Amino acid sequence: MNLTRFEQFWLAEHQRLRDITDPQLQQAQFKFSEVSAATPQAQLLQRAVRLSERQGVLTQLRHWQQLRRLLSVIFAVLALLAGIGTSQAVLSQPQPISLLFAVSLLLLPNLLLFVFWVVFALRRPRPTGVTGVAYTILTLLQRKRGEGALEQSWLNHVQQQRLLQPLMALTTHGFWLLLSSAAWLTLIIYLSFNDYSFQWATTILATDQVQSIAQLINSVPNLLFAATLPPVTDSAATLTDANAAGRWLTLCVLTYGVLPRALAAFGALLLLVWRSQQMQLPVQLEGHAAVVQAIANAQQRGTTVDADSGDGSARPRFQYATHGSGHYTVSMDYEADPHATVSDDYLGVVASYADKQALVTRFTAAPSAQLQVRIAAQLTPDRSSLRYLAQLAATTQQLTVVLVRGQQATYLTQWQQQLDQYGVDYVVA
Amino acid sequence: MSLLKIAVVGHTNAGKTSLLRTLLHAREFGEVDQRPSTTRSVLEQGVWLEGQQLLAFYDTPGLESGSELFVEVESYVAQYRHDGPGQIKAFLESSASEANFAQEAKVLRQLLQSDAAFYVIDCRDPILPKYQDELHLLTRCGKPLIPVLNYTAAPEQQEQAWRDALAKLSLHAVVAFDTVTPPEGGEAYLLESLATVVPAAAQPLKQLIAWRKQERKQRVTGALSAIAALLVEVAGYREVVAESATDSEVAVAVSRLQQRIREREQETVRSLLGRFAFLPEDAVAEQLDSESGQWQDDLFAPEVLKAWSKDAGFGIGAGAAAGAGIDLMVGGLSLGAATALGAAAGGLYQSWRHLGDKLKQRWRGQRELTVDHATLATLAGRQLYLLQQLARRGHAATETLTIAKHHRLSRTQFKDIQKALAPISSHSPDVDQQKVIREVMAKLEENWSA
Repeated sequence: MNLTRFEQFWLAEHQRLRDITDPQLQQAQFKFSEVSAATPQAQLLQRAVRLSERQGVLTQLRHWQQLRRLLSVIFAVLALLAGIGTSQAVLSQPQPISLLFAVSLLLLPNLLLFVFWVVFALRRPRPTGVTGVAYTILTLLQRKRGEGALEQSWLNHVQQQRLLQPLMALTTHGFWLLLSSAAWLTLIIYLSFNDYSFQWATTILATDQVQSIAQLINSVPNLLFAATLPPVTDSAATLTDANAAGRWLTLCVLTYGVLPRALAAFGALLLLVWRSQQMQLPVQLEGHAAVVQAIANAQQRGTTVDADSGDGSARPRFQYATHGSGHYTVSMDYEADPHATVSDDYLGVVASYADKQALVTRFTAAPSAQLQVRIAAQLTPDRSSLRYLAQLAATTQQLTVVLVRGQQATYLTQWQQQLDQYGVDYVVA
Repeated sequence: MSLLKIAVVGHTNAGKTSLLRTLLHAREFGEVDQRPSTTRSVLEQGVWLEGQQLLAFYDTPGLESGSELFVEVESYVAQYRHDGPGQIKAFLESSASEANFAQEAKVLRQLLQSDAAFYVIDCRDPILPKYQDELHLLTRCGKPLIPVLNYTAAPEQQEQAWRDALAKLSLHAVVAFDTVTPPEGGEAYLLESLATVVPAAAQPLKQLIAWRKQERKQRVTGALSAIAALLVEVAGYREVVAESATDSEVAVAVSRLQQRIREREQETVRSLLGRFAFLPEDAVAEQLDSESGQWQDDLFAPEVLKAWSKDAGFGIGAGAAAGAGIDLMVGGLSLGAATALGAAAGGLYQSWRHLGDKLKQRWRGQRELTVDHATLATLAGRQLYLLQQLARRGHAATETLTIAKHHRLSRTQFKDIQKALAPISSHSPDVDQQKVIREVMAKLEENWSA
């Protein structure tokens, strides 16, 4: 099924709502690694369409669209019938027909509802007017089929993309455009082939008042089509020029009924097309954000390029000297507590490779009875340090590690674990 | 240029994997532990932008035998005089590389294949000869090396001493970047430093910096929207209680309301964590205060009346217009009755929509329990605090964030948010929730600073 961009975005919103309520189920039905699109928006659209296919949502969408088309036809027929009916209601009045009354009947409801639409309906968050009625019918019919979930996502989608107002405007003005056009064409046909008489009938208005009202009404048709006002006679009983009156009436319907609605509908259509082209999925919205993240994680998983062989041959072995004399203390790499009281046999800090090897050479030649190695617990244990401790162990009868806390002891626990592992005595200072 | 390859090297436990977690915004990348040799293999992680891989980072095992290795490589100096990479390659081809220095060999091999490297330093450590040996070795690979000083936020950091020591090795382009609390703009600075040493990669790195900036902005906007949605939803919570309900029945209703709030807040916490690519266990919200219910049964609350008058006006107008049409259709025979009836029907319909539920509740002897403003102010404050912390937090951080009870907005700070939430609190029908969310979001933004 070929989906329009509007429908794809609608499905994405539908899917977003499902992701919020039941992410596990959605994930089970579609693996994130199946997504091949590059951008987050394209990924979300691709996933939404595929999931909709699998979950039967596309069938529901097709039903929705069929119902929408059917309702559009029904509403169009209703509008045409109402337009024809209005003109016929005017022309079936007892002759001579009052011009003011005819204008009122043909235009007043249309104009009044136009004004109310502008004042009240334009900024409504939900469909109102003709759109509201159509939406309610669609929703009820969908629910009857057990396919009610699409309506909320449709509404969310058009609200998010700011399409609701142009859609509502297009529906409302389209409806009234059809109605006005039908009324206008009916009027032209009836006036072309039948003989009607008109008058400026009034009971309570003075002639000059009727004149002013008539001139006011005529101002726009005159400006647009150079319409001529049928002469306003001083008596209701006097007939006006029927030909001029008929032409003037049709021009009034065209000016105040057809054109404003046509312009509004065209403007709404332009806005709708423009906004549809500008549509962007709100990828940071609840539901979308998590999916985008999960897709990125699935697509961009790290790989091992140089694996650990797990060779344990580098493990040091602690073996102690069988004889030795003297007690010594040495700081390995760094002395974390320079003010600590250490014995006279303190050999200082051994940090460089050369110093370390020199110390090993010295004790290999003359092993000690006891060797204390001070280690700053702020330094991380590493393989090299442990190997060095093993080297020293071989040169003494007893090796004791002094773990110096100093100002910080970030790796005290790790040192303790390592020394425990090799059975090395230690104290914490 | 072809794919930019960056190795991350350093002594064991210096924070290489942590740096990558923060740079990749991936809380689950690799394994972070205080035990030495946590990373034992070389891991590749790509950085993608709109489906295209921009660069690849390589997390390497920690160097643990720098001094011994230095001595080993020194044996090749005579053979490869003034040819650092030659010395390293010769070492890698030797049996010693696998026998005694397997871990270090992986690092050097990767560095030789990379375009540049970050050398991560735990700058709480003193400068030790073994670290200097490591650095000397790495510079022999002939690749640009950018020292990254980690843990610069720690009180015992020795940043300056390290800078001085690195300068002695002609490494002047040093970046201070605490992986747990990265500095503002630190990530961009790090990537810019990379562009300086690998000029061919300047363009993709510039793209990446711009994208990250945009991503951060989107994350914050999305998070603010999620918080606004939380407030809007919670402000609309209702529990209907009979007027004759006993204290214990009321207490049950209050606790039900509180439970709903707690669950909804937890959902937002998870959402915020997810947006910033953290794990659900990275933050915990302390239980909310117990006082979170208030009675709302005022039919004449200003918000209710305001919304009602607006909609009733529309109802009356639309009804009258439809009625006028009927009056005209019947040629005025109805004497304007249809107009009057239409107006009345429209007005009554809108009034019922607004006040019907409340009137029904009155009729049935029920009251509504709603969420009080203090609770909403607490929710807003706590979530903003969480957002603030997440925006600053590096993905290397493993400590759990606590969202405390006292992280609430003051009455003055909450005043505007409360105003924006008024249509929801007053339970007006057909409220444009998205609009309210946008308004609340704008107010939240005023109270938020990264």
